Amino acid sequence: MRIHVIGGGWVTAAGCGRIGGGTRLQLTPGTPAVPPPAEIYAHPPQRYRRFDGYCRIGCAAIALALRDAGMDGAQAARPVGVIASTRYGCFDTDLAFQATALQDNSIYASPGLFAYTLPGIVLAEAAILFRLTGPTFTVGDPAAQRGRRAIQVGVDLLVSGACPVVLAGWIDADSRRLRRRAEDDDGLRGAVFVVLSAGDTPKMIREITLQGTELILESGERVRSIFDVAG
Amino acid sequence: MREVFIVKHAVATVLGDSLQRTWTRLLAGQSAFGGGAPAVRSAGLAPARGENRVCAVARKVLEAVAPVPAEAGLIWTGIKGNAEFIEAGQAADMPWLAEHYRQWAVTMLGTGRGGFEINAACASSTVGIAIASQKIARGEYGCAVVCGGDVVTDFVVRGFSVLKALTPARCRPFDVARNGMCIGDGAVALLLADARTARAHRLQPLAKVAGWGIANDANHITGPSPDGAGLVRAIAAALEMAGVRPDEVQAFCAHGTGTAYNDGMELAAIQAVFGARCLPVFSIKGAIGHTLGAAGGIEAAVCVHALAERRIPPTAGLEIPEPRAAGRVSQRVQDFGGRNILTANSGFGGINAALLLCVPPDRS
Repeated sequence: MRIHVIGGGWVTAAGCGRIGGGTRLQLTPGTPAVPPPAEIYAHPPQRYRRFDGYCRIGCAAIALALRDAGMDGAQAARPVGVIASTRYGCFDTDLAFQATALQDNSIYASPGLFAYTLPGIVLAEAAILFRLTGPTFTVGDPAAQRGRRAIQVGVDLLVSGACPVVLAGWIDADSRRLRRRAEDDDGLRGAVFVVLSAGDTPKMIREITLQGTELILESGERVRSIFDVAG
Repeated sequence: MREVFIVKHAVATVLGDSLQRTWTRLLAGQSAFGGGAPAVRSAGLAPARGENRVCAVARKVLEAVAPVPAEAGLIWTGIKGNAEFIEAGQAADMPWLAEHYRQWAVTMLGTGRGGFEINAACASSTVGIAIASQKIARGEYGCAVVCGGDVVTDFVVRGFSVLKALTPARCRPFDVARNGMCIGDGAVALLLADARTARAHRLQPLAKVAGWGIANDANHITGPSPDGAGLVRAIAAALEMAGVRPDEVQAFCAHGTGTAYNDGMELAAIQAVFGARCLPVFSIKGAIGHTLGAAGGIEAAVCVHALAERRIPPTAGLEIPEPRAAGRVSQRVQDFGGRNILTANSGFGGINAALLLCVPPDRS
C-alpha cells in the first residue's frame, strides 16, 4: 500500500518551516522559536493566550503542515485524524497546575490550567480550529524514533478506513519546571507534523510504502523517525 | 484481515479486586460510594518498594492476566501516572513517564515485543483496544495486552473539583438530579489475539472485537458537543466495521459519568443512532467511579461478562431517569437476548471511541 505525504510543517529551535516552503528541517537542541500567531494562523485560536508552550508549538506545526497541504482554510468538518508522539507531553502544565493547587488550601487551583493537563488537548485545539473530526490521541516513542509510532498508527487508521487523511507527528516542549528528565534525553524540543493520505490526491510531495508491517521511504530505507519523512 | 478476540481479562476496582467480584457486586446494585465522598481509594493497596499506587493497582491485573504469550505487544493506557510523582515533589523513585509504566508492565509480564503508550484522555483504553485490534487484524501482532491503571490523587481531585465536575453528593448517571461524577482507583488488563495465536496458546475466545470507531467532536477542549455528533460518528464507524445494523445491537455500556453535559450528550447520540428504540443502557460509574484511562477497558471486560450471561447490571445511583433515558437505564438487572453489545467512552479533548463486541462464533 502506498501512502502519500501531501504536506509537512515544523517548529524547532532553529525556526519554523514547511516541506514545500523552501526551508529545510533543522534539528538543534534548545527552546523552539514560535512565530507570532498572525504569521501562522489566518484566524488565531480563541484560547491562544491560555496555550502552554507545548500547545503553542504543536498547534503551530499542525497549522504549517495543513498550510503546506493546502488544507488550512476555514472549511466544514473533515474526517482528518491527528496522532502525535510525545514523551513529556504537558508535564510542564501539570507542574504549573500543581503549584496553583498547593496555594492556600487549593483555593487558587486553576481550572484553566487543569484543562491543559492532558497531552492530547493540543490536538483538540487543532481539531477545533481546523474542523478535524477524525481520531485524535497521543502515543509514546523512544527518543531515537520520534514520531515513528505516530506515523505507524496513522497508517493503521488509513488502512482501516477510519479516516482518509491523518496528520502524524511529534511534539515535545521545553520545561524550566521539570527537574528530572529521561535518561536518554538529548535536549531536542519542537514539533514536526506530516499530512498523510491513502487516496489519490492532486498533491504529493513524497511517498511511503507499507510493506508488511514496515514503512519504506522512496530511497528504500525504513522510516526511523518523523525526521526521515519531513526532512 | 484477521478476526480479533478478547481471550483474557482482569480488572481491579474499588468494588472488587477481580472481575468476578466486581461483576457480582455490580449485579447486586452495590456502590463503593455510599459514604458520599466523591473519590474512593482502594483499601489495602500496598505498593512494593520503589513503586507507587498506580503500580500496586496495575500489579493486581497483570498478575491475574499472566501468563501471556511472550510475543505479545503491550499497550499502556494509564493517563495520569505522573500525578503521584508530582505530588511527591519529583523526588520519589518510581515510574513517572507513561513509557516507564509500560516498561514496568512488560517486565512484569515477561513479554519481549515491547509496545507503546496511548493517551486519549478518558477513552484511552477504548482507543488502546481499537488500535491493538487493528494491529492484530493486519498481522503486525499475533496478540497484544492492553493495560492501564489510574488512581485517585489530590491532583486529579482538585482538578475535577475546580472544573465543578465532581458530585457533592452521589454520582447518579442518567438521573434527572445528576450533578457530577465520582472517581475511583482502577486498573485493567485485556489480552487480545487472533484465532491462530489463541489456538496455539490454548486460549478461549471470550468475545470478538467486531468493530471500532474513534472520532473527535471538534467542539471544546473540556465540553462535549451537545448533539453527540462525535460519539455518533464513532458508533457509526464501529457498527459499519462490524457489519452490524443499529437494530442488531442489543445493549449499550455508556460512558455515563453522571455529569449533566456528558450524559446529555450520550443520550442525544443514543437517540440519533437508535431512534426511539428502548435499547438497554447502563453505566457502572455510579458503582466504581470514573477510573480515567482504565475506564474503557474495565467496561469492555464487564461487557464480555455481560455477553456471556446475556444480562447487564443496574445503573447504581440512578433514582429517577431523565426523560430520554427512561425505559433504557434501570435500577435492576436487565436481560438481553442477542449477541452484540456496544461500549463507548468520551473524554477531554473531544475524543469519542466505541467498540462493538460480540459473542465468539463457537459460542453462538
